[in-house]
Amino acid sequence: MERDRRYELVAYALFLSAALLLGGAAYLIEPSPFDPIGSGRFPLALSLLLGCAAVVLAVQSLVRVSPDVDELDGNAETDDGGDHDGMRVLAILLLAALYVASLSNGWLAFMPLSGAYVLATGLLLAGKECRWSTMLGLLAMGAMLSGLLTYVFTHVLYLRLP
Amino acid sequence: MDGLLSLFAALTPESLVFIALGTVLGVVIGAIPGLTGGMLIALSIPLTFGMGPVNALSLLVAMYMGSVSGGLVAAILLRIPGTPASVMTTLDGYPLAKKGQAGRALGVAAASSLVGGVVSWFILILLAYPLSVIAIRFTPWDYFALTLMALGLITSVSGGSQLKSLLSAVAGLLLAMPGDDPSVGVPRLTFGLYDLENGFSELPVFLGLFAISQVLKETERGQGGTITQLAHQMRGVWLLPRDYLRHGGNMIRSSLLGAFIGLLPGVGANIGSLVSYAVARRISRAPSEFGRGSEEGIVASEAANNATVGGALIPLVAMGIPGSVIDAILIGALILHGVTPGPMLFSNSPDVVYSILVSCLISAVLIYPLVIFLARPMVWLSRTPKAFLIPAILLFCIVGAYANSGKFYDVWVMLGFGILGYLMEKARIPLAPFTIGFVLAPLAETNLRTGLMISGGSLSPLWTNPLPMVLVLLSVLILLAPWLPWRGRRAQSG
Repeated sequence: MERDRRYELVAYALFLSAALLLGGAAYLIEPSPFDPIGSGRFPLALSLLLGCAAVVLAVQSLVRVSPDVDELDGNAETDDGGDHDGMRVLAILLLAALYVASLSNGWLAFMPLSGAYVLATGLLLAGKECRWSTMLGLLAMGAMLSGLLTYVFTHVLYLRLP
Repeated sequence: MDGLLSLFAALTPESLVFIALGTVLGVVIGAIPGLTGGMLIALSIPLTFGMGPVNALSLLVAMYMGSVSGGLVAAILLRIPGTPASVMTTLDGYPLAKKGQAGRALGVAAASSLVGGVVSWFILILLAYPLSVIAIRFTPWDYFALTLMALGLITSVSGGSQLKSLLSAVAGLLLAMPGDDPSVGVPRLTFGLYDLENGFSELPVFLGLFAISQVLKETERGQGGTITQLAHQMRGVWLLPRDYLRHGGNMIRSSLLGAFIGLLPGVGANIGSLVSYAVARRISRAPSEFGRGSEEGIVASEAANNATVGGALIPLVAMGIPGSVIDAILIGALILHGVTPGPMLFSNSPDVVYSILVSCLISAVLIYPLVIFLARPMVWLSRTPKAFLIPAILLFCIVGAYANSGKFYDVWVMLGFGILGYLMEKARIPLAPFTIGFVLAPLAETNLRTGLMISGGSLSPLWTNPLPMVLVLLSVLILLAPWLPWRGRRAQSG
């Protein structure tokens, strides 16, 4: 529950920062002579509303002894109590960021880079269950997917991949 | 009867083939996250140059119908909305699949799509002209009040804390603000970043919030295994007559709502499915089941999003006015084929009108078996070990986001919103209000500002005109509903 509260506070802090940033920028927009509220008033009002809601919820979260059971919304899934590893999430995100950065900077062509990305992500996820067959399977899948995507995008949809 | 016969007289074996082909392509493209019906239709227009207008429109309209339905497969089995219109389907489809009823969830969704498509077809046939006349009389205040009501409904969609839902909806509205000001076309809130001048596109935002956040959750859950614990039972995929009796009222109501919302220019299938989902939840005897695998939720979302297609075609056929982005592309296709869209379309090119109408009906009927057929390989996919499936999903998402605009900016946006979605789910802040707020924002702002310009800065039309007044009152009632005494009693008795 303490971990949930931490996530809540981080989320509220993020929303409050967004409200301050966008609200501040919206406040500086000059009003238009023919438009009663101009470009800035609507986002400014939304920023105020978001900031207030984030502060109220953060205070509620801080003073709450334990979260209400009925606060579990349908969309959020309950914690299954399994093996949770935040570092692996970070590693997956870093790999994705590295892949996108490599593509956008043209460090490698799409097909070999995508194959390598599929292999690296798959190995990270397989962890201790990794066998030679997993590695070969990932290599084959990476080659097949990147080839298929290249063909579909360039020859069927006429979109140029990086 | 003669009218119906002359409708089907326009059918040729060749056009039937094109309708089938268009539906298949639409369903497949709709099922792949990142690829949209609009993209498919726009890219297919050059391929139709060699065809006559009847075959071309048959193919393109079938693609449109198929793409709206295709999104439900990935939404239910992988919690990845293939299209923005299937966002609401993920809320109940995926939880129901996780309970071991994947077949049932797909069957209910596909049957609802069928009913939605057929009902909206009848509306298209019978009411095309009178409804178009009503819709074009909607004032900016009517639209603004409608979006206010939809925002009120949002807070009741996901259950749980209403303040968290409100926070989520307002955050969605606010994050839709950077980019070109929809009223005057001048960039705002861009902080000097060139890419931000186009704002955040819907597709990368939704892929991030739903697909990437889900991938991160699955990654955190542990090494090895499969992505979900779906029992993959395809039992119950074909609905029985008693199922139609049980869900019939919801199917018809949601279809009518979807068709009417589709009729309003600029209001898409995603808003149609949201409104009917929220209405179904309000009316339901088991509202607490919504978001946890409720069949009623799936029915409402899928019947409505398919019905919006027929609804959106009404102003196109009767007045030559596009009801959605895809309709605008279809109007472009009509012009390219030498057909002038507008009120004279019925008298000048009846064969083209009939081909649109017939294509709409036939592809609605074809979608049910097609979705079921496509579901089997998708179920097989979800049995694939996590180490194979997650990299493939990530690759598709990255390439899909890139293909959206041909810019890596959209891929970064997707990853950023993926982190936000992951954090929101961890904090138990519902995602659905965020997505709907994001979609509604330009509509709400443009109409408010246009209304204010017309009224000289006065908000009074909101309570002096009957329709906006009723809609605003309904919005207030929806927002205050949890604190109303009879709602409290109902909740206690429930």
